Amino acid sequence: MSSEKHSFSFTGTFGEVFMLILKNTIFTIFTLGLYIPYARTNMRKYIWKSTKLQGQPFLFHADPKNLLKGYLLLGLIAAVSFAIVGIGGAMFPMIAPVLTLIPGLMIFAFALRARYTAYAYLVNNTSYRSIRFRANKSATWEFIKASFVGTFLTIITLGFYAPCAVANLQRIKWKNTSYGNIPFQFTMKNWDFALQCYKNIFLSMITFGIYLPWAMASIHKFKMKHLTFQNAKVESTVTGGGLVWLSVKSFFFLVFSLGLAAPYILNMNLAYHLDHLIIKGQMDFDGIIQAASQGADHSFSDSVADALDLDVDVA
Amino acid sequence: MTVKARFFDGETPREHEVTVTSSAGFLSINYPKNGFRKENSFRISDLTSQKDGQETILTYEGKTLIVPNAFWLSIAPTKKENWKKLALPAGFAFTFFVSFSLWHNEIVEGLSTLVPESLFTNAAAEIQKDYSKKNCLNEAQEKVIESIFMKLGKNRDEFTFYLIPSPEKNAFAMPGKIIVFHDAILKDLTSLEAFTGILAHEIAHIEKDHIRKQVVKSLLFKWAGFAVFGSGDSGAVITSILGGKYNQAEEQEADKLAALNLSEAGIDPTGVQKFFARGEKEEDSITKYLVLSHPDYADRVKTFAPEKRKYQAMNQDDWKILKKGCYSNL
Repeated sequence: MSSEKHSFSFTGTFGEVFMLILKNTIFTIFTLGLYIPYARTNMRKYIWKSTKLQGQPFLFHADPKNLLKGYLLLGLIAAVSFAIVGIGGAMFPMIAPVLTLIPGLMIFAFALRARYTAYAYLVNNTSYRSIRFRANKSATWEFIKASFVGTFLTIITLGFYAPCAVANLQRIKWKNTSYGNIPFQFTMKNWDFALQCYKNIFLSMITFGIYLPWAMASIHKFKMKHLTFQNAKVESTVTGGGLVWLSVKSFFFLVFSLGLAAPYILNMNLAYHLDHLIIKGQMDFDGIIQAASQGADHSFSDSVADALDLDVDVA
Repeated sequence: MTVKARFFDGETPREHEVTVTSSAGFLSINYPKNGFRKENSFRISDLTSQKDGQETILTYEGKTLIVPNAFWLSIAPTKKENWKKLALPAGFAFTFFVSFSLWHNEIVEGLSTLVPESLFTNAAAEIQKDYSKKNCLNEAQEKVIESIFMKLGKNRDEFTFYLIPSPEKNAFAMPGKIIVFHDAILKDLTSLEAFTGILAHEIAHIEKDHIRKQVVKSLLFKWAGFAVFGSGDSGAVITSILGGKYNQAEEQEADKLAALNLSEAGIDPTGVQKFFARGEKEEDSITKYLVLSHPDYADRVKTFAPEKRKYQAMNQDDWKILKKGCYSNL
């Protein structure tokens, strides 16, 4: 059995990330964007390996070539769908209005699917101590259905259902995620989370937004404490004051450096969140083995998520 | 060469203290497991490396080896070999970039012929639906507009003209031969000649098919902005700057054709020249250099320089009617 308190840390440095961003930018410009998948993967590799749990790094294994293929395929699909609209519309003016719906519907369908599969792409390409994390592909439909139902109920309840929808989606993600052969547990109940959100939103409103950082910290901590792995619980110790100070520092560094401090700010923000994340309890490394099969690659979904600017978080 | 290192075998998360030996392009590791000594060997060129502080993380087929930096640097493949891998895509991209810079006009023109007419017809119908509601042109003003078109030698019926209430000083041409004037711009124009100059400029955009090219360019620049910078604001800024740079050529072309049309119609270009001269004075110098899309006023002033001849003044009463803009209806 390993020790009972496992700390995260972020060991990235300004110099490293600055050089990486510089290299990514130069290569991206000179290759007219063909380097984007490589730049994206390099940045993830940097963030992952700088994130450590008990001094051991996480590793990101994605092959940027697959991501490049994903971007090219997306470009091809976009070109074909616009060609259908243009040429089909010219040949059959009667159905032109229907044809114009095609790109929109395709974007909607891709986006819906990518919300989970882009997450799975990140998870399936992550390892810790050479053991892969895995997100079940079979959860994609469950996630899509929950997204639909959640959005519908959020609309008809004028937004009140939104926290429950978020909790639902988080639960689907975590209960389908495993480290090696051991799945994560996520025990957050919809209404508990909703009450937590309502309370924090109310306090933020009556304080004209001043309470917002404390609300964000409180909601984040609430989510984290419901995540367990084996007999260990995840705990976040971020504070509202800490988030305020982090935002103030980030703002001033960014403004006074005319944006040049962006790499430092990235490091600072990641370091703050990871330094305030711990796993408490027993983790039995002897009981973990590599899963029999690795998760699907889903690199196409990551290119969709990037193209559509979807917010895909690991946690 | 032999060092101590950490090794994860990809079967369990357990860390193994190993001895690593490098020899003839291979790394061999040796460690105890379940009472036995296990051995693994990797071809150095197959390993993926990532520097992490004082250590280097080496991975291969789900196995991870963490060695001191100094050890890896002494056996790692040279950077020259890494550069070779990049030479082909970089060369291809460079060739593409140079070709596009040299022949962008031909490319845009070629592509613009592929844009189906229905796209413009549909867009024009939508625009007309929207602008016809805002149009404030009254009967008397319509007559003035008709006479200006006639003076310029253009068929009024071929174009759709809208005057709309807006505090923004602007005039522009749109798909479907639509010309829109914001009424705020009328306050800055001092004569009917100046108004005619701006109108001639918008007509020139339509006659030179700039709208169709704009659509193609905007799609191309959007793609380029996205391809180079990915999604986000930086892509949009670069798109507008690059797009603007190429738009200048079209603005100049429209100016030249407008000046020619004014000259042939015997209309004094001094009014429109003064309008641009005032723009040059009022323009913030920083903005001028930052926003490349802004037309160069000095060039425009030159283009609309009056010829050495006498011009017949246009009807001042017509100008009074038109200048009222949308307030004439109140």
